[in-house]
Amino acid sequence: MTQPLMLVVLAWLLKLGLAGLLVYAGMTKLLDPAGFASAIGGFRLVPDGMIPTLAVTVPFLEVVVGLGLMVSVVERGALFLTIGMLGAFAVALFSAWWRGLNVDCGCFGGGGSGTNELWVGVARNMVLMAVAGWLGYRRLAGRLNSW
Amino acid sequence: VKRNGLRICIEALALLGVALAAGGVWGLSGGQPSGAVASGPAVDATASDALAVSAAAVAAWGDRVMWVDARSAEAYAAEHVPGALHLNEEAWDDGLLGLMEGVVPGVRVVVYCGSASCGTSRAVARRLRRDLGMDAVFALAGGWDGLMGEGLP
Repeated sequence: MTQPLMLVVLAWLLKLGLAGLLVYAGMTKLLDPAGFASAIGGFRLVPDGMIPTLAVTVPFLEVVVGLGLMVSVVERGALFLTIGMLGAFAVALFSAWWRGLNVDCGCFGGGGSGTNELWVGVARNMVLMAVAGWLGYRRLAGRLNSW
Repeated sequence: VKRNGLRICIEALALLGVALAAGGVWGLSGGQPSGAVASGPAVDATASDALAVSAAAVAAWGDRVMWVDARSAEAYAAEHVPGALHLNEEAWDDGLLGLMEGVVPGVRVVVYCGSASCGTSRAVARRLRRDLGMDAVFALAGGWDGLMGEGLP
Protein backbone atom coordinates (compact mmCIF):
# COMPACT_ATOMS: atom_id res chain seq x y z
CA MET A 1 0.00 0.00 0.00
CA THR A 2 1.40 3.35 -0.94
CA GLN A 3 0.88 6.46 1.08
CA PRO A 4 1.75 10.09 0.59
CA LEU A 5 5.46 10.68 0.99
CA MET A 6 4.65 13.65 3.16
CA LEU A 7 3.02 11.43 5.79
CA VAL A 8 6.06 9.17 5.92
CA VAL A 9 8.38 12.13 6.33
CA LEU A 10 6.10 13.71 8.93
CA ALA A 11 5.97 10.49 10.95
CA TRP A 12 9.73 10.14 10.83
CA LEU A 13 10.29 13.75 11.87
CA LEU A 14 7.82 13.42 14.74
CA LYS A 15 9.54 10.26 15.90
CA LEU A 16 12.93 11.93 15.73
CA GLY A 17 11.58 14.89 17.69
CA LEU A 18 10.00 12.67 20.32
CA ALA A 19 13.22 10.68 20.68
CA GLY A 20 15.32 13.85 20.93
CA LEU A 21 13.02 15.33 23.55
CA LEU A 22 13.12 12.19 25.69
CA VAL A 23 16.90 11.92 25.51
CA TYR A 24 17.26 15.63 26.29
CA ALA A 25 14.86 15.42 29.24
CA GLY A 26 16.71 12.40 30.60
CA MET A 27 20.14 13.95 30.20
CA THR A 28 19.24 17.18 32.00
CA LYS A 29 18.03 15.11 34.95
CA LEU A 30 21.14 12.93 34.97
CA LEU A 31 23.29 16.06 35.18
CA ASP A 32 21.61 16.99 38.48
CA PRO A 33 20.23 13.86 40.20
CA ALA A 34 19.96 15.66 43.55
CA GLY A 35 17.89 18.40 41.96
CA PHE A 36 15.60 15.87 40.32
CA ALA A 37 15.34 13.96 43.59
CA SER A 38 14.12 17.08 45.37
CA ALA A 39 11.70 17.74 42.49
CA ILE A 40 10.24 14.23 42.91
CA GLY A 41 9.98 14.80 46.64
CA GLY A 42 7.95 17.94 46.00
CA PHE A 43 5.15 15.90 44.47
CA ARG A 44 4.75 13.85 47.69
CA LEU A 45 3.57 10.87 45.69
CA VAL A 46 6.23 8.29 46.48
CA PRO A 47 7.76 7.19 49.78
CA ASP A 48 11.02 8.97 50.59
CA GLY A 49 12.94 5.70 50.46
CA MET A 50 12.13 5.25 46.79
CA ILE A 51 13.17 8.72 45.68
CA PRO A 52 16.93 8.14 45.23
CA THR A 53 16.26 5.09 43.08
CA LEU A 54 13.65 6.85 41.00
CA ALA A 55 15.87 9.90 40.56
CA VAL A 56 18.36 7.78 38.66
CA THR A 57 16.09 5.18 37.05
CA VAL A 58 13.55 7.53 35.50
CA PRO A 59 16.12 9.63 33.59
CA PHE A 60 17.85 6.50 32.32
CA LEU A 61 14.53 5.06 31.21
CA GLU A 62 13.84 8.27 29.30
CA VAL A 63 17.18 8.13 27.53
CA VAL A 64 16.92 4.41 26.73
CA VAL A 65 13.32 4.71 25.51
CA GLY A 66 14.22 7.77 23.45
CA LEU A 67 17.02 5.87 21.73
CA GLY A 68 14.77 2.81 21.43
CA LEU A 69 12.29 4.81 19.38
CA MET A 70 14.88 5.00 16.64
CA VAL A 71 15.63 1.27 16.70
CA SER A 72 13.09 -0.64 14.65
CA VAL A 73 13.36 -3.89 16.65
CA VAL A 74 12.17 -2.31 19.88
CA GLU A 75 10.20 0.59 18.46
CA ARG A 76 6.79 -0.68 19.50
CA GLY A 77 7.88 -1.32 23.06
CA ALA A 78 9.52 2.11 23.18
CA LEU A 79 6.33 3.80 21.97
CA PHE A 80 4.35 1.89 24.58
CA LEU A 81 6.71 2.98 27.36
CA THR A 82 6.74 6.54 26.03
CA ILE A 83 2.96 6.75 26.33
CA GLY A 84 3.09 5.12 29.76
CA MET A 85 5.75 7.50 31.09
CA LEU A 86 4.15 10.63 29.66
CA GLY A 87 0.80 9.51 31.10
CA ALA A 88 2.30 8.91 34.53
CA PHE A 89 4.04 12.31 34.48
CA ALA A 90 0.82 14.03 33.40
CA VAL A 91 -1.10 12.36 36.23
CA ALA A 92 1.59 13.42 38.71
CA LEU A 93 1.50 17.03 37.48
CA PHE A 94 -2.28 17.11 37.53
CA SER A 95 -2.45 15.66 41.03
CA ALA A 96 0.08 18.24 42.27
CA TRP A 97 -2.12 20.99 40.87
CA TRP A 98 -5.21 19.33 42.34
CA ARG A 99 -3.67 19.23 45.80
CA GLY A 100 -2.53 22.83 45.47
CA LEU A 101 1.16 21.95 45.74
CA ASN A 102 3.65 24.47 44.45
CA VAL A 103 6.11 22.07 42.90
CA ASP A 104 9.11 22.20 40.67
CA CYS A 105 7.98 20.30 37.56
CA GLY A 106 11.36 18.64 37.19
CA CYS A 107 10.44 17.92 33.58
CA PHE A 108 13.78 19.07 32.23
CA GLY A 109 15.95 18.88 35.30
CA GLY A 110 15.62 21.18 38.28
CA GLY A 111 15.39 24.93 38.08
CA GLY A 112 11.98 25.49 36.54
CA SER A 113 9.16 25.92 38.98
CA GLY A 114 5.80 27.36 39.62
CA THR A 115 2.25 26.13 39.44
CA ASN A 116 1.63 27.88 36.13
CA GLU A 117 4.06 25.55 34.48
CA LEU A 118 2.11 22.49 35.58
CA TRP A 119 -0.62 23.00 33.03
CA VAL A 120 1.93 23.55 30.31
CA GLY A 121 3.47 20.23 31.29
CA VAL A 122 0.13 18.41 31.30
CA ALA A 123 -0.86 19.85 27.92
CA ARG A 124 2.54 19.11 26.43
CA ASN A 125 2.39 15.51 27.61
CA MET A 126 -1.10 15.09 26.14
CA VAL A 127 0.13 16.27 22.75
CA LEU A 128 3.21 14.04 22.92
CA MET A 129 1.08 11.05 23.93
CA ALA A 130 -1.16 11.65 20.92
CA VAL A 131 1.90 11.78 18.68
CA ALA A 132 3.27 8.55 20.17
CA GLY A 133 -0.16 6.94 19.83
CA TRP A 134 -0.36 7.88 16.17
CA LEU A 135 3.13 6.52 15.51
CA GLY A 136 2.23 3.31 17.33
CA TYR A 137 -0.96 2.94 15.31
CA ARG A 138 1.00 3.36 12.08
CA ARG A 139 3.57 0.85 13.18
CA LEU A 140 0.99 -1.74 14.22
CA ALA A 141 -0.94 -1.20 10.98
CA GLY A 142 2.29 -2.12 9.22
CA ARG A 143 2.68 1.17 7.44
CA LEU A 144 6.17 1.88 8.62
CA ASN A 145 8.99 -0.06 7.03
CA SER A 146 8.14 -3.09 9.20
CA TRP A 147 10.01 -6.27 8.53
CA VAL B 1 -3.39 -8.58 18.00
CA LYS B 2 -2.29 -11.12 20.60
CA ARG B 3 1.14 -11.46 19.03
CA ASN B 4 1.50 -7.70 18.92
CA GLY B 5 0.67 -7.43 22.60
CA LEU B 6 3.21 -10.06 23.57
CA ARG B 7 5.79 -8.47 21.33
CA ILE B 8 5.22 -5.03 22.85
CA CYS B 9 5.57 -6.45 26.36
CA ILE B 10 8.83 -8.18 25.51
CA GLU B 11 10.28 -5.06 23.89
CA ALA B 12 9.16 -2.88 26.77
CA LEU B 13 10.68 -5.26 29.32
CA ALA B 14 13.93 -5.36 27.35
CA LEU B 15 14.10 -1.56 27.37
CA LEU B 16 13.32 -1.46 31.08
CA GLY B 17 16.09 -3.95 31.68
CA VAL B 18 18.58 -1.87 29.73
CA ALA B 19 17.58 1.27 31.63
CA LEU B 20 17.90 -0.46 35.01
CA ALA B 21 21.26 -1.95 34.04
CA ALA B 22 22.51 1.40 32.83
CA GLY B 23 21.32 3.03 36.04
CA GLY B 24 23.05 0.35 38.10
CA VAL B 25 26.33 0.68 36.24
CA TRP B 26 26.13 4.46 36.46
CA GLY B 27 25.50 4.29 40.20
CA LEU B 28 28.29 1.77 40.87
CA SER B 29 30.84 3.56 38.71
CA GLY B 30 30.23 6.75 40.68
CA GLY B 31 28.98 8.57 37.60
CA GLN B 32 26.77 10.52 39.92
CA PRO B 33 27.46 11.83 43.38
CA SER B 34 25.90 8.70 44.83
CA GLY B 35 26.29 10.07 48.33
CA ALA B 36 24.01 12.93 47.44
CA VAL B 37 21.21 10.85 46.00
CA ALA B 38 21.61 7.34 47.29
CA SER B 39 21.92 8.44 50.90
CA GLY B 40 18.19 8.58 51.48
CA PRO B 41 15.17 10.82 51.18
CA ALA B 42 15.06 13.97 49.12
CA VAL B 43 15.47 15.96 52.28
CA ASP B 44 18.94 14.51 52.70
CA ALA B 45 19.75 15.11 49.06
CA THR B 46 18.93 18.75 49.66
CA ALA B 47 20.84 18.97 52.91
CA SER B 48 24.05 17.50 51.53
CA ASP B 49 24.12 20.12 48.82
CA ALA B 50 26.29 23.21 49.25
CA LEU B 51 23.23 25.19 48.28
CA ALA B 52 21.30 24.05 51.33
CA VAL B 53 21.75 25.34 54.83
CA SER B 54 20.17 24.28 58.13
CA ALA B 55 18.13 26.57 60.36
CA ALA B 56 20.73 26.15 63.09
CA ALA B 57 23.50 27.36 60.77
CA VAL B 58 21.42 30.38 59.78
CA ALA B 59 20.75 31.18 63.43
CA ALA B 60 24.51 31.23 64.00
CA TRP B 61 24.87 33.93 61.33
CA GLY B 62 22.93 36.28 63.57
CA ASP B 63 21.22 39.27 61.97
CA ARG B 64 23.41 39.43 58.88
CA VAL B 65 20.84 37.36 57.06
CA MET B 66 18.34 38.41 54.43
CA TRP B 67 15.32 36.12 54.28
CA VAL B 68 13.58 35.40 51.00
CA ASP B 69 10.12 33.80 51.03
CA ALA B 70 9.62 31.71 47.89
CA ARG B 71 6.17 30.41 48.78
CA SER B 72 2.91 31.59 47.22
CA ALA B 73 1.81 35.20 47.62
CA GLU B 74 -1.09 34.01 49.80
CA ALA B 75 1.14 32.08 52.16
CA TYR B 76 3.48 35.08 52.39
CA ALA B 77 0.62 37.43 53.10
CA ALA B 78 -0.68 35.15 55.85
CA GLU B 79 2.62 34.91 57.69
CA HIS B 80 6.33 35.09 56.98
CA VAL B 81 9.69 35.39 58.66
CA PRO B 82 10.00 38.98 59.98
CA GLY B 83 11.67 41.13 57.35
CA ALA B 84 11.50 38.48 54.66
CA LEU B 85 11.08 39.53 51.05
CA HIS B 86 8.63 37.74 48.80
CA LEU B 87 10.37 36.39 45.73
CA ASN B 88 9.51 33.42 43.54
CA GLU B 89 9.45 32.64 39.87
CA GLU B 90 6.00 34.18 39.44
CA ALA B 91 6.95 37.47 41.05
CA TRP B 92 10.58 37.57 40.02
CA ASP B 93 11.19 41.12 38.84
CA ASP B 94 9.48 42.95 41.71
CA GLY B 95 11.12 40.76 44.31
CA LEU B 96 14.53 41.05 42.71
CA LEU B 97 14.47 44.86 42.87
CA GLY B 98 13.70 44.75 46.58
CA LEU B 99 16.41 42.22 47.14
CA MET B 100 19.08 44.22 45.34
CA GLU B 101 18.28 47.23 47.53
CA GLY B 102 18.65 45.21 50.68
CA VAL B 103 21.75 43.21 49.89
CA VAL B 104 24.97 44.66 51.23
CA PRO B 105 28.37 42.97 51.43
CA GLY B 106 28.55 40.42 54.21
CA VAL B 107 24.85 39.67 54.18
CA ARG B 108 23.80 36.14 53.31
CA VAL B 109 20.56 35.48 51.50
CA VAL B 110 18.50 32.52 52.75
CA VAL B 111 15.58 31.30 50.64
CA TYR B 112 12.81 29.15 52.10
CA CYS B 113 9.73 27.50 50.68
CA GLY B 114 6.89 25.53 52.26
CA SER B 115 8.40 22.34 53.56
CA ALA B 116 11.31 19.96 53.45
CA SER B 117 10.18 18.51 50.16
CA CYS B 118 9.42 21.66 48.18
CA GLY B 119 11.92 22.44 45.44
CA THR B 120 11.18 26.12 44.96
CA SER B 121 13.76 27.41 47.44
CA ARG B 122 16.52 25.52 45.63
CA ALA B 123 15.35 26.75 42.26
CA VAL B 124 15.17 30.36 43.44
CA ALA B 125 18.54 30.18 45.24
CA ARG B 126 20.17 28.67 42.17
CA ARG B 127 18.70 31.34 39.93
CA LEU B 128 19.78 34.13 42.30
CA ARG B 129 23.32 32.79 42.31
CA ARG B 130 23.30 32.73 38.55
CA ASP B 131 21.49 36.02 37.87
CA LEU B 132 23.17 38.09 40.54
CA GLY B 133 26.52 36.34 40.48
CA MET B 134 26.24 36.05 44.27
CA ASP B 135 27.65 33.06 46.10
CA ALA B 136 26.14 33.84 49.47
CA VAL B 137 22.67 32.57 48.55
CA PHE B 138 21.32 29.46 50.28
CA ALA B 139 18.18 27.35 50.40
CA LEU B 140 16.84 26.57 53.87
CA ALA B 141 16.62 22.84 54.57
CA GLY B 142 13.27 21.98 56.09
CA GLY B 143 11.53 25.06 54.74
CA TRP B 144 8.75 26.93 56.50
CA ASP B 145 7.44 23.80 58.23
CA GLY B 146 10.88 23.24 59.68
CA LEU B 147 11.04 26.82 60.97
CA MET B 148 7.62 26.41 62.58
CA GLY B 149 8.93 23.37 64.38
CA GLU B 150 11.86 25.28 65.87
CA GLY B 151 10.23 28.65 66.40
CA LEU B 152 10.73 31.72 64.22
CA PRO B 153 14.22 33.21 63.98
